[in-house]
Amino acid sequence: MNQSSDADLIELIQQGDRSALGTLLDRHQQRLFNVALRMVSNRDDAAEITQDAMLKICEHIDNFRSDAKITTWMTRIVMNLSISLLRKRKVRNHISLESSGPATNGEDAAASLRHVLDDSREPGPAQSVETTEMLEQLKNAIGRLDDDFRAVLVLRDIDQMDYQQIAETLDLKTGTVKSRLFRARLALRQEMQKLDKTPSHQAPH
Amino acid sequence: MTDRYDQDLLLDYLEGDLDPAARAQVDQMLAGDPQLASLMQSLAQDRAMLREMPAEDAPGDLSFDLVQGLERRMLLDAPQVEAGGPIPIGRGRGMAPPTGGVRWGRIVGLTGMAAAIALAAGAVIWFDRFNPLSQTALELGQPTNTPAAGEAEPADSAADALMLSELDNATAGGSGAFDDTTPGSLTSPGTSALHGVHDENPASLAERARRAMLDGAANRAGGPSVSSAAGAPGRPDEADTLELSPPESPIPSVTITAFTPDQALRIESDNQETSKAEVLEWCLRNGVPIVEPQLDRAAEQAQADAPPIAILIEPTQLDALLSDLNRETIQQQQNRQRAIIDPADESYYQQAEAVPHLADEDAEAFDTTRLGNDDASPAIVELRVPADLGDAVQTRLNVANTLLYSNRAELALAAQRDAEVIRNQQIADETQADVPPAVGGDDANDLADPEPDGAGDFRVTPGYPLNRHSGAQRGSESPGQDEAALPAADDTATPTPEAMEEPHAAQASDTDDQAVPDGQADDDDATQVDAVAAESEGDTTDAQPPARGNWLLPQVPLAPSTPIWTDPPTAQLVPLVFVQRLLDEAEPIQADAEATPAQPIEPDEAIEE
Repeated sequence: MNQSSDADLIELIQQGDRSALGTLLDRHQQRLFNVALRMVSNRDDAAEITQDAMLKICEHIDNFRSDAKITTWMTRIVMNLSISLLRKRKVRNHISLESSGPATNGEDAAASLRHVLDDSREPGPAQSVETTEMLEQLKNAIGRLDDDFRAVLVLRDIDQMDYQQIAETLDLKTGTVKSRLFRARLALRQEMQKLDKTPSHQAPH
Repeated sequence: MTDRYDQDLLLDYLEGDLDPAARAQVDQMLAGDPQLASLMQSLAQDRAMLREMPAEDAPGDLSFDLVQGLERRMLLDAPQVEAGGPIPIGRGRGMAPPTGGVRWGRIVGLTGMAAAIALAAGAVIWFDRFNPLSQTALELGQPTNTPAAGEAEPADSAADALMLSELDNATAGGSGAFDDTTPGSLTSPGTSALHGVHDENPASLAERARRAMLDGAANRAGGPSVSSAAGAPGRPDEADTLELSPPESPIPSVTITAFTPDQALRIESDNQETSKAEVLEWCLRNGVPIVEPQLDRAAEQAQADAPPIAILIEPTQLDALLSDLNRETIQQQQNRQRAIIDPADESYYQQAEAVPHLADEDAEAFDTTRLGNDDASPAIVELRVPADLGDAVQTRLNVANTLLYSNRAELALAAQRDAEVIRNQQIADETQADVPPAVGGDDANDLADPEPDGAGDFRVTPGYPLNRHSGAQRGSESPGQDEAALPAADDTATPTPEAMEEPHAAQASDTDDQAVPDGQADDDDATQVDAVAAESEGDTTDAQPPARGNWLLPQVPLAPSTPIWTDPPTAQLVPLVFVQRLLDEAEPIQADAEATPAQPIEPDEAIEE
């Protein structure tokens, strides 16, 4: 499971050992599927993305450079496919940060923070919601996030990457990753609060 | 207020990256600002929940499927590309979309859309000037509280009406009206809610139709999966009695705005399997004018899910449309149910019989397809083959698809090749239809036999040059090799009664026991398995190209999305194809067809032979 064994597998694959390819894919498919699933919020789409990603991995594994991490490379492929699918099918919710005011410019983190702070004066009923409902609400909230925010959150919290890996995966600078991550967390909280206020997510009294 | 917060510091605090001193500093800061403390607590809670979100299992073994698909592509694509053969059928799980072949469906679709635009232009004029729907269209632009429909300004076209209705959507709170309890299926409003309002006054009809169009937004935002006409304002009792069914998916894949002569309806489906292209093709096929999408966006929108389709349709046609779409949906649901059958279970095909919602005839057809799952014994694909060759092709393709879904790609390959053989025979028959009958005799009698009698149903037209050549070619080669490579040839002949009644007995008795007397296994009898066997021959002999290249006449590409079990076959049970043994002996097909391109033999030559 460790990185060195991945490197060994890649070496074997590049030497023509195709069975190693199956081992490598099998090792990572679960992780890749979950990354895709959290991005597109649909199991069928996630499975398709995972397979497409694995197909691309098969096609380009011979050209993979060992100076990069295979996990980062694989995740990047999944991320690109996921974002491509989201844009193509317009899966993401129309209610995005761009239309929600404080984070309109995407860079005004302070304004976003202020907005959330204002909203936080009114404690929502989320505290009393069951854990399963909270998880479902969390999934919904993630689905409503802007693609960029969703990507950084998925990589950080679902895939548990460090900043450097996220930066490599998303082709960003580390500072940008941190900035975007904080704004993504605020945006997520914002969406959670919105969902708290909708009737369908009201906690039972 | 936020200026005093160091966001990096707060993020590091959340992520636990601060040293104790810095953390104490932040704690002190939070103690002095309850608002910030509350926010940070919520953020930390969100983060923890995200990290504890349980990982979900991938459906099936994706990497295994992928590897199987790649192997299948390696086996199938190379010779097809070389010989210009048919593209692989379907897109099973793990399969990349076919890259070769002509995308006839797309070409036909685009050409048809161009024609549809012309139709739509005329239809819009008719629609606007002569049709009572114009009145409905006027009313569609009315706000909810506008009293009289006739007082509105006329809309220029149905598209305008649609646009107006969308604008109106912002001010009118439509309520969903749903009478379908089957998630993901479409319900014909003509047979349910709408039939009940035909006798009502026009104003009410118009209002209900308008509401039907307006409730789309509510559906997309998490409403029911299917919508039809809703209750009119002022009739809350009716609206209140309508039941909402939970959405299967929040993203509708198809939205149809159907304008009938007296109704405007919005029909949505969140069934991901139902594509917009299907609806458009249906409309083109049935001469239903399409108002939207327009020509310049047709290609893009045909692939997209979100934009609606606006069509002008008669009520009877609407019923037919929804009926067809419903049928497709049910079919796809059945396919999904088959796809999750566990191939590790020895009796998984028997389990299939218990799959709910199978029509009787479908279950019966399924029952005749059995797969020996024991790796130690030769696998048997036993097919119910109808007399009609077209159905036979479909049957084979169905089996191939089913096996693909069951992760038995190698058997699917055999069934698929078998289908190619039959398809080629079918093409040959069509070609032969223009040529005077070449020979008579027994073969001709077999072909003329109205009773399907097993292998005879698959016999190629006597004198058909390519198959004759195939037989002659086999004859010119080592007979011993033929016998070794064609153990299943006899098995394709008339099966024994035991085999008909007990497929597993045939499996246990292996291939030799299923043979019929040698005299009955003439060239044409062997044609059925020639395809698979010739693959083996082509690979095991040095200089011979794959014999299948000889019958690759101009191909009709197989449909890339052939549905499974669309038409259950009805004829008697015939050939057993012992494909596993052949596959075991066969090497992967090499792309050597190019070195010795197949040369069709003229009919006269074949007759002489």
